[in-house]
Amino acid sequence: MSTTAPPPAQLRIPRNDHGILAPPELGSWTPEKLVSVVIPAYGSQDKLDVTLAALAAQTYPAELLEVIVVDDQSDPELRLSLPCPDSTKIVRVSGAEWGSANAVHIGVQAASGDVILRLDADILTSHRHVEAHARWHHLCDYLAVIGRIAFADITADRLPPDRVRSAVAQGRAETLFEGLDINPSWEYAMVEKYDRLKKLDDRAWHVANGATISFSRRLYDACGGMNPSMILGGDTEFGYRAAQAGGVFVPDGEAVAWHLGLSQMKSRREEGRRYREPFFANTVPMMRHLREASDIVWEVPYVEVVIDVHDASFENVAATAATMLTGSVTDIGIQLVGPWSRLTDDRRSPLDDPYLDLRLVAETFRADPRVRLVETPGAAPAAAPFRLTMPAGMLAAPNAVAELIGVANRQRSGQVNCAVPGFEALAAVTLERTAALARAHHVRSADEDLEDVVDEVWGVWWEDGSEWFGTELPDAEESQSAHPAYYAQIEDLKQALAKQRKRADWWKEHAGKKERAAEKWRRTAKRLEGEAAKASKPLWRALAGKVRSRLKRMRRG
Amino acid sequence: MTTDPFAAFLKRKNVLVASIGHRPGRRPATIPEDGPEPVYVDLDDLDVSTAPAHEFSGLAVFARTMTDLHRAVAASGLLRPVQRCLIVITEMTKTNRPTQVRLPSYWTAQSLRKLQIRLDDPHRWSCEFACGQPLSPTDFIRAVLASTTESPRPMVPRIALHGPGSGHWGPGAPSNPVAPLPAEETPSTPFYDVVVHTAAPEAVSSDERVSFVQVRDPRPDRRGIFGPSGDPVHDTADAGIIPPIDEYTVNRMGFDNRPKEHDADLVYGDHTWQVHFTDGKRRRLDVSGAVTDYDVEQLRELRSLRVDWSSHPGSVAGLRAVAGLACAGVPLVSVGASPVWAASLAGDLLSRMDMYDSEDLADGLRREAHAVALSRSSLREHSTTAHAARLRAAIGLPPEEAPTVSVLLCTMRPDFIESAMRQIAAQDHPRIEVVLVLHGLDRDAPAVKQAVADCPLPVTVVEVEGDRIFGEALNHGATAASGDFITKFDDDDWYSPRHVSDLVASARYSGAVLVGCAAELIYLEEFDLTVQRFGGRSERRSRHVAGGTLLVRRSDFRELGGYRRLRTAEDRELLSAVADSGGTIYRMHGTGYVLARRASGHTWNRPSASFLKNAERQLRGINLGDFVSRDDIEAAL
Repeated sequence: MSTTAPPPAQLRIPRNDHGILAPPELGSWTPEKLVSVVIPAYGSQDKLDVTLAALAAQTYPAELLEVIVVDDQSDPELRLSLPCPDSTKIVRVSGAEWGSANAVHIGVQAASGDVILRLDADILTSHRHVEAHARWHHLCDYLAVIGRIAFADITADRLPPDRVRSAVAQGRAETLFEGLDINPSWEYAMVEKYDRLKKLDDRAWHVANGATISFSRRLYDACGGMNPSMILGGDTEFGYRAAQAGGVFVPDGEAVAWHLGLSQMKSRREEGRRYREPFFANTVPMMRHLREASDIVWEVPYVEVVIDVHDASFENVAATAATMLTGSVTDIGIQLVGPWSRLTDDRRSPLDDPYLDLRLVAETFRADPRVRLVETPGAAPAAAPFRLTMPAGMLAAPNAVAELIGVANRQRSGQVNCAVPGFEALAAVTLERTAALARAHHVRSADEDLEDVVDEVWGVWWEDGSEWFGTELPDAEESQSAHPAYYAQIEDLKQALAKQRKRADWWKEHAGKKERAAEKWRRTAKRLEGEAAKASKPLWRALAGKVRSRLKRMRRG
Repeated sequence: MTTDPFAAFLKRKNVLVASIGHRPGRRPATIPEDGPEPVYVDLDDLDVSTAPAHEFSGLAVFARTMTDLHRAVAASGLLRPVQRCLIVITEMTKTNRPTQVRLPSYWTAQSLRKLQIRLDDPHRWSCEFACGQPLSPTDFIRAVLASTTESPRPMVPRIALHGPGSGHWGPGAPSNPVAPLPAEETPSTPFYDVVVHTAAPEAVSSDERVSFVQVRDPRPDRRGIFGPSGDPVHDTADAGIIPPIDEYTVNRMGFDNRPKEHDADLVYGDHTWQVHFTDGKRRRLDVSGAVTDYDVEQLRELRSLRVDWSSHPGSVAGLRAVAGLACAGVPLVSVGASPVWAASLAGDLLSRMDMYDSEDLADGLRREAHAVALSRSSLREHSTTAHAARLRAAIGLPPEEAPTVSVLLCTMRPDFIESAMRQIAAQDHPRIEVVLVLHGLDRDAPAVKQAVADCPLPVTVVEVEGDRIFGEALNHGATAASGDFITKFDDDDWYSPRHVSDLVASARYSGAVLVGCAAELIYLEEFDLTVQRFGGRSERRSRHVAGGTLLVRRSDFRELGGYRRLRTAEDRELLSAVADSGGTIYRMHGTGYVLARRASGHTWNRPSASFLKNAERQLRGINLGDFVSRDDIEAAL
């Protein structure tokens, strides 16, 4: 959905630090936006009835609330029963594809609201749940809001929909679970631990889940929506892409909801993890541990390298691309930007071809799946978290990419510019963080410099690149760390060392505490001993002592 | 306790134990149970009438901190000479830990037989002397203070202190102040110009050439039924009611300019200010309001210290503590607004404290600029130097003149002369002369003539041929200089208007031969970027300072041989000459100096990119130099 008039100036949230947003108190504001609640469902009519009953008792205005239940080919077909919100409709999945991600995607297509609230079909929401979600989306259109879910060990037959509706409407939903064990979700524990996600920078998307998350229609479209091929873990993968599209993750502790029964994550945890891993490894490059020590080519690269090959010699392009492909970070993708459409198969004099170098470049990388030939680079990578732009003819040390990403993370930057001697451009190499770039593109007004906006939303850092980049490769003999294999080993050792240091510090600190406590005990014992000795001293001896010391003082005076 | 390292010393017969800085009634050392009981005195209570008159075989001085030991100098003059002396500092800081112990080199002190220094727990430092001849206790104390007082304290007026607590009015070493002599022993020429007294002065000199100034014992009255009553503040804005801060031990040395996270609160309780840390720890400041070097060292990790004025009943001691913390560069902020009873503190100190919240100081540069400004105000109004100036005025002496400073400006680029001269003229140090060294320029060049004509300061122009090397040109300038100090300005850098006065002040409190600051802030013109480097390495003794900031006494400069005749690195050579001759180099804060790295036309051919290395912070699109030269760095943050 795009409007023709320029949108009003958007709030510029730095990193994931949403502290500048000041949402209104619940119950004290007037909503304007239509919220579409999308519920993918497969079977369990009774739980769906509970979910809809709770939604029928929301404080959010009924005329601004629509509910879309997506029936993922249940047998028997799901139906709507009262109580449920006025504008509730059911959409049935008809194609060959199936699964919750696919169902959500179909539901979003059928929705007409600016705000999408995605709920599971076994969720009982509190009466201000929708309102709590929606208040944030009235402030800003690149947020993903996470509700606060808890797991209740209860079955739907103990929750008659009419009772649910009235309890929720009175704001007493918690009374429905009296006497039951309630377990908070791990996502919410993470929220508490990291200062409401404000300090998680580029990792806040980890808390994304399907049980209760809302986002703007715009953010959904910008990141490409749910990926129907993800049968499990689709919500996490979607969260990851929403972050790359510039999304900010905001937890709202007042958007309370209960999950009916323990989650599958809980009951078959290990199997679920095993299933998800290869899917995540392919699609979520920031889960670095899944790609450890393997040269497997994965679907989404960690870094997209952009090399402009216009007017560059074949040798320069080949050398640059080759150094990037042999670095310590193996999951990169290279985009060679050039006028590829001009290469035709027409008869030509092979050695006098005006596009001779271009043709040789194309042939060299034709079969490497990591290299793509493109006419123009996109505004931002689709899913890779970083983009590195460098000129043809520049060589990189094997550790260059890893080091540069290290700088970006240490400095918490959205972009790192490298000055490299021997290259004309001041920023000869730039590393951009996709999430920062996408947000900057979105909030930028037409006359603003993109880099200034990146600086505002995430920070731009300058670095001297002469140690990692140049016109010649650093001598491998001279610098062992320039060998990719050595480099990886050294990095591993460094990490291990840091861990050991931390442990040692912990022990030191705790040992110190023990020692201090022991010292305190010793002192107390000593004092008690002294007091005991004093107490056992006969009165006359104490008196004599006092007189003696007074006499002494008088003599001195 | 048998493990007490001082047991052997204290077990001797006839030992005097003198303590200072410890809470009254608390004995600083464990006294052996089986030995004879030593005699105790609190040096803060001592005066002519109460000093023990007989001789002792040994003296043990237990000072809580180095700050307290400095205050002990005057009272120690009332004690009889001894052959054995033990000096213990129970809370020794890292910054003031002695690297030398130096007795005067008279033959009596040359009878020294034993000198033992030990640090027997992380903070307790001690030094034991044994001599063949009796020496004045003052000599022993000064011997320990020697390395924290490399430069002499102001000697005029010569102050004598009399009465309990008077030590707080003249902390000092090496030679000033002293304890007055009993009236019957008054010599024909009095040893002092003024007696600062808390008790009635009858017991001491009746010489009419001596002035008497009455002050209050800053320690609260201990006789009150309800505990110390405090010394209520009267409605006055007179800074003179506050006993001076010993800026030689309580100063910015050891300040850490890296961004910090934790705050603490300064809250009144148990009759004095207490620091409440976030982890529940507390530190009680002395009831007299005397902040010590050790107190300050405990506060260096704080982002800010929030002063809860409303918890305090209002006393001179309360104000003195705040002035002391400010002098040390502790980043103070007020909770709410500062009260009326604080009016005798420097006005800009209070308005600064009221201006900021803890959160504002999350920015490391702003925190540092704030701390430096607080410290400047406190040094100006509340230091021993300020106190000496007030005493001079009170007894009719003319004010002490600030040292003269010659600023060397050596340039070969007429384009930069105007702005460089303007920055020198803007300096707030009162006595500056400019030595303009024209390196290959003609004194009749229009830019030169104009700049010299516009400069309100005395200007000496020295012409050096362009083919002479830079170090030689500088030496020519130094020869023409007449100031007590020489400092160098680079023609294209930016200096805060307080740069020279800060250098002079830090030369005084650090005692260093050469002071300067590092190029912590660099403006890279090509990148339109100011970078900050070297976090946590200022306000300490160091081997390196930036060439464009060094300040040295002219006499020392001459003895060091001036600049070597080198094409480059002439600054580095001068610094190593200082170090090799055993002198100290001190690096003060770097917020008043911005090094320029111009896009082209610089004599120093390092690619600008290398300045990006190890940058801790980058300010995009900001030339901090413009802000620093207007003394307004905080506006850029």
